[in-house]
Amino acid sequence: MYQYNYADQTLVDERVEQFRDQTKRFLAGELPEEQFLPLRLQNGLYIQRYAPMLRIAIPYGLFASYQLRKLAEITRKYDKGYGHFTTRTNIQLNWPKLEDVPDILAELASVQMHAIQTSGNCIRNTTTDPYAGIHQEEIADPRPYCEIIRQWSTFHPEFAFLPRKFKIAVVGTANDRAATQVHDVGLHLKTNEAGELGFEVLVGGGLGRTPVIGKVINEFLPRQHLLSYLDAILRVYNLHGRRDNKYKARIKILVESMGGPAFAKLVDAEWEAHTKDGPLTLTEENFATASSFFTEPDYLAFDTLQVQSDLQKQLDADKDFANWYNQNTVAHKVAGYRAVVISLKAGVVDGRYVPSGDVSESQMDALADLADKYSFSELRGTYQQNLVFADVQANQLYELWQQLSTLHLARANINTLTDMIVCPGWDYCSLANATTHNIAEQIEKQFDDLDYLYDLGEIRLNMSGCMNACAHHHTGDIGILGVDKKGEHWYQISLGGNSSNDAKIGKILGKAVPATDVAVTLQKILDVYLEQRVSNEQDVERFGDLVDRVGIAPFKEKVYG
Amino acid sequence: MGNHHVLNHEGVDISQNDTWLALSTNELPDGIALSHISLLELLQKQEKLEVLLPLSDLLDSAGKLAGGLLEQVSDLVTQHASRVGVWVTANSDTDLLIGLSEFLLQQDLIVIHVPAFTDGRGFSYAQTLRQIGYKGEIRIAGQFGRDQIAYLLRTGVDSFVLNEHDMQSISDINQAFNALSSSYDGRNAAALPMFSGS
Repeated sequence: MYQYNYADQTLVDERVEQFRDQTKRFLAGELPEEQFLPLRLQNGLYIQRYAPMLRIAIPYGLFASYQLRKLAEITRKYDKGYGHFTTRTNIQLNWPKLEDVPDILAELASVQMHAIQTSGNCIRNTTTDPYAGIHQEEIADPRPYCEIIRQWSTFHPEFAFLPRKFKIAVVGTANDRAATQVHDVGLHLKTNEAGELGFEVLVGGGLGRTPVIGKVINEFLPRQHLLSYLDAILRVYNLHGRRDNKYKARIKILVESMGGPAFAKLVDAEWEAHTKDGPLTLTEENFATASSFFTEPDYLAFDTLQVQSDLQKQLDADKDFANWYNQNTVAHKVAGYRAVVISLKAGVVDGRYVPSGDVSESQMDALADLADKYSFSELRGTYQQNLVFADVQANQLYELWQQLSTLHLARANINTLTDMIVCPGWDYCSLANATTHNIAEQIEKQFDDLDYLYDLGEIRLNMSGCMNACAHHHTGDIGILGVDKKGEHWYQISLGGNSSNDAKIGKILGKAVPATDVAVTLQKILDVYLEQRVSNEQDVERFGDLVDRVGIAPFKEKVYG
Repeated sequence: MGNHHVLNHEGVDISQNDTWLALSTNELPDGIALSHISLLELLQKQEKLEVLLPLSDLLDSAGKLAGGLLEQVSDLVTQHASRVGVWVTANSDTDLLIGLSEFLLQQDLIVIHVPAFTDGRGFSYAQTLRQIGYKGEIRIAGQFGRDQIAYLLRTGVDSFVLNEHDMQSISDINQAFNALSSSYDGRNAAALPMFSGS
């Protein structure tokens, strides 16, 4: 993992002092509100319904146990003892005090962390595949490129006051696990016929009020041009993006208004004229340096047949462990290892609903210890608001599972209906139109039978509390959007969305349902699926595939007919 | 025009030595230069002055340098000026700089007016001017803020026009000019921390 050098460390330290001074000047009335607003946003600080919210960056989702311990300490000292992981693999604190934020940032800087550009109209944290570097079929590890992009985009002097926010995602496998098609820029590592590495470049994807799938503007960009080309895209956007209406200001609106080919032409003209082959050109030596931070850990060699046989005995002996193994572990390129997904969708624990993505300070400390013991001290955040231990020995899975279970972190529901992406909603967010946590709790209570969930198979359920779509409801197999009707919270359901390779926007089922009816409506939808799905001996038709095949009419009929 | 100050790239107040005059027009924003002069006054002056022209007024509807009367006026000003510059507003047509490189490279001063603190187009204007090889002075005016000065310096800006209120409120000008002094430099791959060997 990338380690800060002197320059990195000095810079985050300076940034803390800069923000301390800005906060002081704001509180003293010297810095006008309209200037402090974008400045605090670029340090991750929102003003929410009850308190400020601080969004801390976890670059491309990768972090270390010592950083997680510091986060635990910060939530104890300055907040209410928990943090919330987001779809863009950052972590949010919901209750910091404005005047404490400079001190929190100083604590973060002591463990190479910060909240820089996690918010505001600038280039945000770059995201990637949580299984980067461990997949057998990976074309190339995306993390070195993510780190190069992080260093280029952090404090880029030209792009800190863009028309609107700007998000980049990079993947290194054919299978897209980072929702790249709904990012402002999506980068797909690929090789050309000569075997050289480069990127397919997509622009203009995004959700929110106007959901759009990104368009390919360059089928193969040789990797040495990565930064000069991104620079050209950003400049075209900075100069041409709309600034008269914040709902029309994202790059997707610009790309839609002129079409992908015309936008590509503008970028090419800018690139050829000003940045191509200039000082942003990367060298082979640069790539070697960047890659050196993401070398393989010291994997052990195993008698794999022995390991497999021992594991099989454990799986046969314990159905709960077998369920967890099937749902929550992922194949690894090194024999004898698995990646483990830690579900942050505990559901209802001791009678209390735990919001998606929330982790308590004691869980953070415990996870840090487990990461040290079982996964080379590293953790990763995922787009689905879960965590990953990427390198776990198969012969240690059983004991890890036992320990995660006592922490309520081993719920075997990954990729099932209750592995929901849920935004904080009305309970915290001042933009929200409706609550989300009470609805998620209702769904948890209705669908608490694991065997039923396994029978339903892979279903992505995403729920946002407003049309800003932080929980990406458009791209869920089932999407739920909270809306406000004369002061009451109602919920609009959509079906058939997808954020992966076959990215598409879900279709709205019909008129919104009242808060009390969400779970029963879902039950009707799932009944249609179970009645109509086609199965053979090898395969069961997935929910998303059925919606593709039959459309939403039968679901509509069942719910509203 | 209100009372303004010009600061150089080190934050030193150079207003005393700054003799640039903006040509008076109906749409001249406050603070493009410390003072302004009408065309008639300019033509009556014996000595040659340093004069700033509004770039948009020199262009035709297609964004090209206009011929005819406008060209004659521009020539007349040039004859009565010791040095000539132009001002542009970041709020004007964004394609303004494209196709005008040759003309822009001849200017002694280019003033970029920022219409709003959150409008970041001025950063790209300045950076583009440097990339096309402009070596003259780039000055920023308008609604930029003290906390943007360090970024503006990195995009190639040389000097800053501040109003009296901003001058009063910046208790430590040095700090504004040196903020994030060890910042990454998104313009140059070799300067990124992991490649710079520092």
